[in-house]
Amino acid sequence: MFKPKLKISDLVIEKVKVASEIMGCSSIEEFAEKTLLAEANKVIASTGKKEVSQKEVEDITNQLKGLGYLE
Amino acid sequence: MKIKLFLIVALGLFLPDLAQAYIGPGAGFAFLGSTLVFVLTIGMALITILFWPLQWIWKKATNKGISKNARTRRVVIVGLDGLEPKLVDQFMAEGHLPNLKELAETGSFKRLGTTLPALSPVAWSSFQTGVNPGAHNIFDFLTRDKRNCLPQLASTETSTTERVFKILGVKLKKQKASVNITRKSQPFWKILGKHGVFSNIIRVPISYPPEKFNGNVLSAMCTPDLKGTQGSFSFFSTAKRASDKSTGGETRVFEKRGEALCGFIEGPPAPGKVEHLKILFSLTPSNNNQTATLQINDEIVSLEADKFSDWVELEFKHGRHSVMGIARFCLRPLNGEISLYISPINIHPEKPALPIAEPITFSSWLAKKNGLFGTLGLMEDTWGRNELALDDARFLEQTYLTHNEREQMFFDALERTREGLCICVFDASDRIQHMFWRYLDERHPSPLEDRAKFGSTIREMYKKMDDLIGRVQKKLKSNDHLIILSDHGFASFRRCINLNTWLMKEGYLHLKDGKTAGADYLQDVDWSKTKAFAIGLTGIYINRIGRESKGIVNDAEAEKIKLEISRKLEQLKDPADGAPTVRKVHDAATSYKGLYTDEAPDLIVGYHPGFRVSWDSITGTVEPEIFSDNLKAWSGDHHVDPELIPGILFSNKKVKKDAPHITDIAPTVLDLFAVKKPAYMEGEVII
Repeated sequence: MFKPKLKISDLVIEKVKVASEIMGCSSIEEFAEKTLLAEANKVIASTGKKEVSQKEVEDITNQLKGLGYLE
Repeated sequence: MKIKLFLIVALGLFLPDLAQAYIGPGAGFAFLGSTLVFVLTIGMALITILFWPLQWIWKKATNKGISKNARTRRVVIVGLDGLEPKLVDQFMAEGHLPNLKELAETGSFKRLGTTLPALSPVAWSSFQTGVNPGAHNIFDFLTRDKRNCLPQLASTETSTTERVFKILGVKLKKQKASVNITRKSQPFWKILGKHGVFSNIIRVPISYPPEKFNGNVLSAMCTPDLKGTQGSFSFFSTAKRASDKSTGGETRVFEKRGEALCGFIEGPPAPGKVEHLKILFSLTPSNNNQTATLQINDEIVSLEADKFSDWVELEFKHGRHSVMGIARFCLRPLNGEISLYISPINIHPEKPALPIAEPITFSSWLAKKNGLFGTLGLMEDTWGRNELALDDARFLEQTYLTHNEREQMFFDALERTREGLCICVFDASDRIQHMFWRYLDERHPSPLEDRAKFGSTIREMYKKMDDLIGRVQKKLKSNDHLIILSDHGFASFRRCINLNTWLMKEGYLHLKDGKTAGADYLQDVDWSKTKAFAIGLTGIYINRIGRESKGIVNDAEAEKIKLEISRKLEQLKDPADGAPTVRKVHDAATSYKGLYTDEAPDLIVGYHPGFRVSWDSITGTVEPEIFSDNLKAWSGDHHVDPELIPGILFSNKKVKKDAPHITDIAPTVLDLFAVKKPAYMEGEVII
């Protein structure tokens, strides 16, 4: 229905604009998404790695099936 | 209260249903999608018709269209994946490529610098965006899941998000599954679209799922089949196959019912279940197995030995819903036994279960106009050939059937693109070189089927591509710009190197106590001792603290390890003949520039011609030996150091740069249409 939106202060937006230009991004959204995701992943990763489940192995086997470069 | 309850229930019914069923990694397949897409297609068509006059008035009023300052009204780009410059030189000199030769003489022919690494998903992403991999985020076919180091497709990610709706004070939860493209930045045709330039983009790799813009796009590489895989064939036989190893397809023995041979074609998983939906088929051989009648879904298909059928529609039913796919069949009689090859089940282009085109109606329109066509990302069944479900002749036939479909779509698009941009990428050049290079290389260890018959297959393919270019030229107007490019060249792949085994023997990778070799996906790796591991075709990752979930290497030590590994690999010799194996190991931190550089493998290995990462190492399997012969039909490849393997660039206008690069194409096309190159774009205007 409606996508969730984040409110960011003007000060942060200005800095994001400058940073995204320096990093060669095609938009400020791209910069914001990448940096937020990186931080979120760090937090999630720090909660500890679970063992790989059989389901995960089956899923990845299925996903990669047929990709010519693999066996 | 009753009214409130009624409203909530009614609204709940109209909200999109839970996207259950199979959400295949990389595919994301919602069972309901099929019906939804069909309804949307009709709706979109009606809306388009109704709003067309308004759109036309708006367009005129806002003066959208190609700029008066544009240097051209139409740009045509033909991608010939993997066309090798040295072979182009040779075949041109021998007089086999008259059309390309003429272009070289009247326009330009140059080597086209490629990306690090020289892989199609990486290079075509740079073509689309005009930036290096550090800014578009595609570094390989595969990346790793940082949570558990499992390999995963680099170009798409699937996710399931939960949304909470509050309706009249009552909370409703809905789940939404989605598949997203992970290639970042933006294709240059999106920028052109914003400036009123319309584009038709046919099968440019890394365009799945398709993105909305002012134009039409048909997705390519990494578009899944109906099972969510990159293409899994089925092979039924009266003979039991010697190997029951897990393969790229389903290998089964027919069930005999009277005179008929029967089996089930496996489709997508049933919604919410592990089991797949199936269709029963029966095959009745005749004429000493040289012909057969296939009955499937009440449809009768006549098959001839060793010939592919036309596309056959397959309907997988589940209750009131159904999902449509298409497949080709090939009867394979051999040594008194009979077999049936069934191609991967492609998403039906006319009734797609997943979005494979933008606008969503584009693939339906193409199918209605030109007939059914393959939609899978990697259409040519190299796994089927490697695993002997197909032989060289059948693989070649399948490849050219796909190529012919692509030509038809391209020429149709070219005719409709009176102004604007028209791009089509052809894959036959890449796949044929992968599978037939052993016929060019006398030192190749892979067995040949028939040198007399297939010795000139690669040359014939180059001639076909030249003929295609000749026909394209005849369709051009005088001011049209024609660009022909390949994303990389080609080299032999004789010897395999297992990078993970090498890392283990050098003490950077450790297996758990008591484990030796063999487990897939780095599953037996002892992460508490492992400092580096390899995933994908060219990448080595350092097991860094704060990045990998069980990282043990700090930044200072990572720098030291990178230097050590690079130095040692660059000195690694093949024990068989003492030949150098790795030309250069590139440090991602200094090779890439951009927001996504930290997503890249830490080191990128550039091999010498003849070498490539081993088949098992790609997905993280440690083998007993570092080196092995490549005995597969897949005998050519392009993972050698990018400096050694540029692509080709032809243009009907003069190219002003001596050493053009694939990132130059995007800014050049923008400039031809008088659209300013965005600041983030790295390439230069070369025409």
